[in-house]
Amino acid sequence: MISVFLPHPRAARRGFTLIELLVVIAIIAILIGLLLPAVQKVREAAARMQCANNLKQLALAMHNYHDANQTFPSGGDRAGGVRYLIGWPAQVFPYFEEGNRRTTIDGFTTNAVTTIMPWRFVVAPHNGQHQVFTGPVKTFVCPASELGNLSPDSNAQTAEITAATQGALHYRANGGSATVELVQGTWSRHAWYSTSGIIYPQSKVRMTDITDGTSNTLLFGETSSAQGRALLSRSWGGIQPWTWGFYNYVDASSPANTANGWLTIDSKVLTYSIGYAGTFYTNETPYTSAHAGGGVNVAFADGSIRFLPKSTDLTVLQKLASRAGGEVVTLN
Amino acid sequence: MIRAIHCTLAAALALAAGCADPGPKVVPVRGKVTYNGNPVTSGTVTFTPTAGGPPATGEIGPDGTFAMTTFKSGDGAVPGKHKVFIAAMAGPNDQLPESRSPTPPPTIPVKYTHPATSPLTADVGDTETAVTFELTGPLK
Repeated sequence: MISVFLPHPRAARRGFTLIELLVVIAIIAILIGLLLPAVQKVREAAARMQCANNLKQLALAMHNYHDANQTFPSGGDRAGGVRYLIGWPAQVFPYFEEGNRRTTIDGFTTNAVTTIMPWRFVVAPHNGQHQVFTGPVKTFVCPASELGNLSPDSNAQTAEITAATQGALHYRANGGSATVELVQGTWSRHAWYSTSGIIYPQSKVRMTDITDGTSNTLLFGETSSAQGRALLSRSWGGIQPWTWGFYNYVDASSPANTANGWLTIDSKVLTYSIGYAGTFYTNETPYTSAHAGGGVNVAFADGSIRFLPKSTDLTVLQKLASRAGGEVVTLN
Repeated sequence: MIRAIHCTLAAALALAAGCADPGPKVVPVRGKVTYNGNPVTSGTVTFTPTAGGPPATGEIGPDGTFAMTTFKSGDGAVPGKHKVFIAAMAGPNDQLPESRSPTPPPTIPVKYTHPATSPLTADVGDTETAVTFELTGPLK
């Protein structure tokens, strides 16, 4: 009798209709669609900041090196038949918490950092496949880069280069302006370099030599993207690992033959605009990045970090690259 | 009325694009590079405004022609006088420096390849400009 007034137990559980469900799903989808680009933007900004922070660490390491040695690290010199040497990275390891890496390299042989060629040879004492070279160095890697923290550098033309992957180097030291104190190496157009920067072949630049002002002179620039190319990380003008700093033509001369010219691998001459995607010469690898808009982080000699847009005036850039050009620079 | 709608639409679009600064005016620049009368088949032309401003670059095609780019592909260069230099080396255009020999030989006299030694200049007018660079002399 009572049961007549009670609703049927099944009828009480009225569910969602299909339309309601679809509407809810659509709303959630729209919300996620709005959220994702924002998340992506934040991730990008974080990567760019991490990238800039690495530059800051390197600039501070350079300053500490300068305090200890009264000069910035040299862009390299050589005696005898040694080639493909390590450049400034090994010099500043102890100044940014990578002292153990330096100690390990020092253990390979006497004066290891100025005599071994890990980029070229696997055998001892070069030990090109040792973990100290094949493991990434966090401070050298821009997290925004699409290239990853290792630098594949094998080159089809020179089969004896054996180190397939070594730690990447996404920051190149300022080797000077293309238009100031140019040295036209006679070996090839690729061996032209400049002595107007902070780090260049046989350099011994002190803070007091930077007469344009340390806040107006570049110390490092970012070279961290292949900009869609498959192969920018390869060959000599590409983004080489930190294990190769410089090269002097020709092989057997002692001391170095400066007239022949040098290849500067871990320091670069400023010839092209930011994000330049065209043909370039070995010592003049352009500043590139994967940041939105294509601008790059740079470090100045006073340790300050700035983000330069892709459309930065090329002549202004070159003025920033020379340490004593006497130019007046206005940077927006 | 339609004009007003267009303006409103344009303003709305500009707002949507974050009110981007249109930047300096650029005019289309096309040209050709030859060496001893033959087209230079690959390389990159760089224009640097002597009065300051954004640089422009142009990829040289297989027929020696190029179109300059400042902000967007093919938009040209800022009007005025420019210093010009051309990077060009052996290897077809689609073969990037990385996949050529480690130090590819030159295909044009080296003096044209560097901003400090190149004698080339270009005058970009207020309207579409055509330029021709006839390179001569020994390679080295």
